Amino acid sequence: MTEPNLIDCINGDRKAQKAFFERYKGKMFALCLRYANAREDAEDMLQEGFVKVFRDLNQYSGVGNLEGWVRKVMVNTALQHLQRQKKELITVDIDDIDLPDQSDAYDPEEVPAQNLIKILQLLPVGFRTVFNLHILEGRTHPEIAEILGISVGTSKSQLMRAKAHFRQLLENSLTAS
Amino acid sequence: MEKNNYNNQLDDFVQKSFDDYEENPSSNMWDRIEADLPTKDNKRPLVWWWTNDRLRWAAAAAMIVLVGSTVLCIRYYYEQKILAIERAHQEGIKANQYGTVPNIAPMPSRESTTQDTSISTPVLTEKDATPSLSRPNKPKNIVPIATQTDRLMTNPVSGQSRPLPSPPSREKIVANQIQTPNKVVTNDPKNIEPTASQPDAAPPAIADLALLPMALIPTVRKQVLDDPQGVIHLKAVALDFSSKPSIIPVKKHLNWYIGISGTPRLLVRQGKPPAATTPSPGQRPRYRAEQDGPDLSSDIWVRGGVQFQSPFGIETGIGFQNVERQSNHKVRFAYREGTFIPSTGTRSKQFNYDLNTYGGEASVTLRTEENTAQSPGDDEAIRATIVSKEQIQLLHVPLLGVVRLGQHKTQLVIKAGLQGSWFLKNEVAVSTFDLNASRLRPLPGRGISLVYDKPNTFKLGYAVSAGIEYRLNQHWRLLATPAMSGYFKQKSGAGNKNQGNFTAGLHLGTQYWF
Repeated sequence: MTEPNLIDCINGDRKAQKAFFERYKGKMFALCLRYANAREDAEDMLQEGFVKVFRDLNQYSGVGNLEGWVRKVMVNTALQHLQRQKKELITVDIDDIDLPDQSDAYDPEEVPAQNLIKILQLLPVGFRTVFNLHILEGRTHPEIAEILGISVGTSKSQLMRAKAHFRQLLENSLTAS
Repeated sequence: MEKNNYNNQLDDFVQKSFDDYEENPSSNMWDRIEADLPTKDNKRPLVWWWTNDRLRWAAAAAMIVLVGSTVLCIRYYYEQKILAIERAHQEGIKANQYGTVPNIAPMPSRESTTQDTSISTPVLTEKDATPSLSRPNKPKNIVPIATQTDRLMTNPVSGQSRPLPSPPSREKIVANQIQTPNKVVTNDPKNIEPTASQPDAAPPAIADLALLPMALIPTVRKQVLDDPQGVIHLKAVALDFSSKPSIIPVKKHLNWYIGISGTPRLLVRQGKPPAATTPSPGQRPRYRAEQDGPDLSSDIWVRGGVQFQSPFGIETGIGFQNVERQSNHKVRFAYREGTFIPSTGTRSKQFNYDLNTYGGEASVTLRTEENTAQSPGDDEAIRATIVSKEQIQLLHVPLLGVVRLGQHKTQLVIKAGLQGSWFLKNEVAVSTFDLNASRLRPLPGRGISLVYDKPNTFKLGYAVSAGIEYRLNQHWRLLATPAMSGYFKQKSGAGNKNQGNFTAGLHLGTQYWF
């Protein structure tokens, strides 16, 4: 796939912007699906994210990894989207929520990521966010604490619970199949 | 141990599952995005800043400051103007009571109003060595050689003499009416109330006062117009100083101004960044980086102020500053100072350091992985150069005390006071880094990341300047003042105190005095 012309994208050339969108839509939509509650939410995140990308593309220096930059914008957009949906993003008390223990059967016909996305979307939003940031974005607990405005201890405990619950749901899913 | 292994396997499984995974959104997604994108026509609307909440509030605040200060200045200007007229009037009254002030023309009597050829003002001859101050009421000791057209009127402030114009005729009085809330002076002679000192008054000098924006100056209105003596005051002023000259003392003292100016600035850093510290176990290590590259910026100002009768005055205004900085940060670590990245095993380490920016403090994380079979030694030096780009837009509102010294065309001006700064835009991005370590390379896709720790939105600081103002003519001045401004120290989001940076520049501009 040819790289889209960034100058044309910055200048508002629709053809170039569409090429840019086609180039990154798959990876970025997969990213949004991991953070979102449902596919519709992920599409909203993707739409909002790409609008921000085209708006701020002139701030990209051209030296670093473009995909990394787009990814960063998307993650920030996803977090803002979740935060708008739920003001207290991460202060979920394990005792106060009903954690689902049943998930759809693991479908071996689908790629693993599709099955994992279904399980991720069953997690409470706080668990899912910390899980994504730590396991898949490689953020440290102090970084997560700063991003989400929580303490490092909360980040660690949320991750521990998120992983335990994710594992449980995955096992249930595999068993059901 | 088994649980840990299981956890690590689960992490690896999840990471590998999502590696290079792509899924397509719905087919109309591009149409939805395109609908939200600005077209070329409306990409930059005429009032583009109106779409930004912070800019809109800033514009509203700016308007309030400008309108408020303008109203205050206008009010102050006219109050001074009328007070000066009243002062002049009081001096005229004293002159009449004691008859001892020769440099103010005596008020014409009723006769002088009606008999144009009478000589009511004695004038000293050059031969008379006796100051007229002592004998003004003894005209027989003075030779009255002047005629009506030769009478002199002396301005009490400037001391300059000039011929006193003829007292206005009855018709002129009639033509110039002044209305007050209590009474109206009309063309009916019965309504022209004579007083003890000036039986017949002519108000033409005050005609322009009737045009004053009285609604803006209720206190002055009360002082002059609601005063039962108001009409008499105005008449007296007219009689004492003829027409326009009675205003001259006020005109000579211009006391408020507005101007535009600009300041090229250089950011000055105080002190060296603290040395790197070895973190205790479990603690996130933080290091400060050395930063190079000049930090130049510039700002533009609209400023207005009031100068009191003394050397003191006050000044306020609005300034807009745009800062775009690209800086190279040279960071140094020992390999042991990094921490292992949990999700990538033991061959990847990350290094954190603080980025001291203009508008806050950011944290940067470098992620590396080993690229040779042999791991680096614990003390192996790792050097990296990171490029950061900052884009900051600031709105400054100062409140300064001003001292102007000297009576010549060139005045020494010293200003000092507080300055509030709103961050309209405050963004930082790090783009890349060059790793100078043969056994390490940036972690693909995640080599560098930045967390902007609570960027500043408002800062309180100080502004000081000292320089000169050069008076081009009665209204225009040029100014050149070396200026310095900085922010008071405050704790950043990371719990560290910002370094005490300040900017130094040259404030250049022009002023129009009213």
